[in-house]
Amino acid sequence: MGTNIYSTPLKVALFIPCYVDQLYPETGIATLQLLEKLGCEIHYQQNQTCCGQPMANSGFQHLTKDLDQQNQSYFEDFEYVICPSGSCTLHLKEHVFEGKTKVYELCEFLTDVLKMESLEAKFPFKVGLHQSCHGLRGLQLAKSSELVSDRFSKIEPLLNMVEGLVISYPAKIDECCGFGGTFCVSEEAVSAKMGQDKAAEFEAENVDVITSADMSCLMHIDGVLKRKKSKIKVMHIAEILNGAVL
Amino acid sequence: MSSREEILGRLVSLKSDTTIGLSIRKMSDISIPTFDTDHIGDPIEKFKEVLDELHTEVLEVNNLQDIAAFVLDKYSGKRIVSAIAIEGLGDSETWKTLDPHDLQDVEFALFEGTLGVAENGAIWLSEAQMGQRVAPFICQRLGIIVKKENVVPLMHHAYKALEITDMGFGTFISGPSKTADIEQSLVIGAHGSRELFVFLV
Amino acid sequence: MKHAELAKKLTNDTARTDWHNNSIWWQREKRDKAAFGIPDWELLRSTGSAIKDHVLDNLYDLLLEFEKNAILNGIKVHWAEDIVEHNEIVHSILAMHKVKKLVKSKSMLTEECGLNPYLEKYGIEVIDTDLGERIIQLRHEHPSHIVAPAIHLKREEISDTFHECWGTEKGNSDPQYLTEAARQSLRQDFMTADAALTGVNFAIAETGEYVVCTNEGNADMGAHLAPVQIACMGLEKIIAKREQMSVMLRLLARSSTGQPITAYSSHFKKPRKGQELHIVLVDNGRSTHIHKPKFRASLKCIRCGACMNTCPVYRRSGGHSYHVTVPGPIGAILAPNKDLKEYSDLPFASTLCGACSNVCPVKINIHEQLYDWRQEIGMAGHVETSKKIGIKAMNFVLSHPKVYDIGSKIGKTAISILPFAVNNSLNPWYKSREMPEFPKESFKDWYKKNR
Repeated sequence: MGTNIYSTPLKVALFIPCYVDQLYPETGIATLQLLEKLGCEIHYQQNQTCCGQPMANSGFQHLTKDLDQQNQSYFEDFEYVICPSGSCTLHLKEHVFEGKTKVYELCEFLTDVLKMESLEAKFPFKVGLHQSCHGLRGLQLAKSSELVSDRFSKIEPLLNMVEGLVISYPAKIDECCGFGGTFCVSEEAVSAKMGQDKAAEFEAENVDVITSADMSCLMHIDGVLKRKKSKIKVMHIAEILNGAVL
Repeated sequence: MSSREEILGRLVSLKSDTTIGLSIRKMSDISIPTFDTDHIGDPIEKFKEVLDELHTEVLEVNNLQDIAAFVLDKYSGKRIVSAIAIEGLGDSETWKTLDPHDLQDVEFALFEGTLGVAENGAIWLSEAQMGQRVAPFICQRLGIIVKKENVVPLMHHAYKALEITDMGFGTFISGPSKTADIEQSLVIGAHGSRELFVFLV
Repeated sequence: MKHAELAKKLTNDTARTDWHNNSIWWQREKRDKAAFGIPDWELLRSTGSAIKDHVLDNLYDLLLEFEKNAILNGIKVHWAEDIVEHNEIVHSILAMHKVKKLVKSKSMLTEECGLNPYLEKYGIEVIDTDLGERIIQLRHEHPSHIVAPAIHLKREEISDTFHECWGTEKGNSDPQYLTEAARQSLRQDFMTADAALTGVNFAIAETGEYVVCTNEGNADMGAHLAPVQIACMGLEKIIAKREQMSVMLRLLARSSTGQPITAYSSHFKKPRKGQELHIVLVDNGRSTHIHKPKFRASLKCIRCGACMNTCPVYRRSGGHSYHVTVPGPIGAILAPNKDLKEYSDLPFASTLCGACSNVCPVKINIHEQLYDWRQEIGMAGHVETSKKIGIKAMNFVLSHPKVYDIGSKIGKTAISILPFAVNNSLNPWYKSREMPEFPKESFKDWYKKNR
């Protein structure tokens, strides 16, 4: 399995987004299994529920004090908190942990801390990479298309470690998918159109699977794909890196 | 209290407001860095290249007579004004004191610019060089003479070089007038000149 | 009506939405080409940002310096508290000179003030001379974009308008032909105007001059022919030093349309011989906005439109759906300062993707301000009741792990915490998307069993 540069098991805490817990447990399971394979000692605080983003983004950050305090206390003793979601990670970083606890999105952790260079996984398919906005622009998981600076990505190299996998980007390489939390229902028309445009761009690339570091984006794109009876599947990057089969 | 007093009264507290939290307070904190000029290469070549992209005809000439010949060849029979005296192009002074409306039928107008900017093809014309302000805009076709040694790489160099103390009006002109307001379709020739000729000496 | 409803006027026509989206995305692509042509573009942005930050801190002194120098230059300086006073000042200048016809170049500020209808009440003919503005003026519409006011219109629609108003050839929608018709028509207006009014892109405190940038040359054609010239500017359009214009002019057109510079960047310092030159400095809420630490940075805006061009929501909903003079991301953070309730929908017309902040030439943190305005709106009680109830229910479940767990066992937690639950009406998610499937066990269940 992949390389772990640390000789003793790295103690990490898992932050599992609420909708991953409830709707996409396989993303959480894959994250846990992948990190264990890489030599991490996983701690999962079972009382955790949510990072608070849905309330905060709706204008109710002032109501999430209890939840914020719970999250702070669950994770304050850990040097590494890992979350398989760019948007949840960003919210925890900017609005909850106040710099006291370090939280990493999964790909960020694999690249910056574990410094992964190889992986035992095979996924011989054309994989469309959706660059979720909060991870991209908020956590700088890659260079966003707007910025005039050197190209880099913390996600691409990981996918390139997977045997047989071919990465494909949509025409608008990092345009938002249109999920946006409650935006997906309160601005339904624009949200749906953005999702439809995103799905169409991936269809034009003839991808087999669409992946991302955020299951919320994939949930939205998947909803559109299923409505048009597309054969394209969605899969969180944790699953692909963990050796999933299609 | 006048509106002026009311407005300034609301703004004066900014001077001592520590809650605002921005750290840039003094003029000395702002300096314009030295920006890259490598990407410009040879300023004159870049200037020509950019003007060509901007639908401008660039002619390298040796002297003013060449310019006069070119202009007369194209526009004789039509009204030509020149801000500088060149043999053959007629009076270069009287038109400057006419009512600006009297210039509406000028087909071609010729001026000498102060400098050119390579990065964007812009040429600075001061009011003194224009003769009168409306002249470079109201003409159907515009010609500007630029000395090669006055072509600078970037806008920063241009502003450093420009004298403004006595100026009443000046403008950077880059290409002929244009618009893309109809379905983003570029049309050259809006309300200013339809064409621009740059004479590089 | 709010943004979500108004957006449907465009989204209901899929083909037109695609056309609008692609037209405006092309502006973003041109911007990219221009920006990527400058290796130190990000340094340029940082410098522009610092220049404008300094303006906000020193606005008091800079305005006084500008006024002093402008007056020395022979410019008459006026101060207007609000929209009403601005209109009154402009009108009084025109009335004094018995102006019957005014030609006007692009000024979002005068749009903000509703100047045209105000003057027309007094029998003054106002001609908007920017081609895009003239088109929408003839159609009695509002601009949908701050740089390209008619970007929402197709050439056939413009052709019909010109045919009706000017007798151009019916059905001829060639942009060249239509532009020529506008040139001829507006040339007559320039020749017969009694006064000219322009906007201000930048006013320079150091020298008491101001700069007007156009591609069409319409501001100059108006200003250099008319005996009376008026410039209108928002207080925040000041910059401190002339040399700083080099930074602003390198940033502006590239960000806006992907051009290296506009065709004309005219520096007005003194009135023309025999001409009267006035400038009206307008507040209209800016002097209070500047005191808000989280929101003052929006006053750095140089009105380039880059944020609109990149915004995936703006491109698919159109400028009119923002029901405010300046639309798009920048509009969504400026408008709530004027009226929090009226514009409470605008900060939510966004997914907070952050692309706008990345293209802003003066590095306004637009996406962060959108988030901060949402908090103001939530605390002020302007979030729709149904959404508020849903959010509070969600918050309760998520703040109480035991409630979350119990609900999870009976399949209720997922429903209560997901976006589909927030809106009480027939689930909008399902209109265009299939629902996600509910798994047999949650992650927590799996973890308990397997670890």
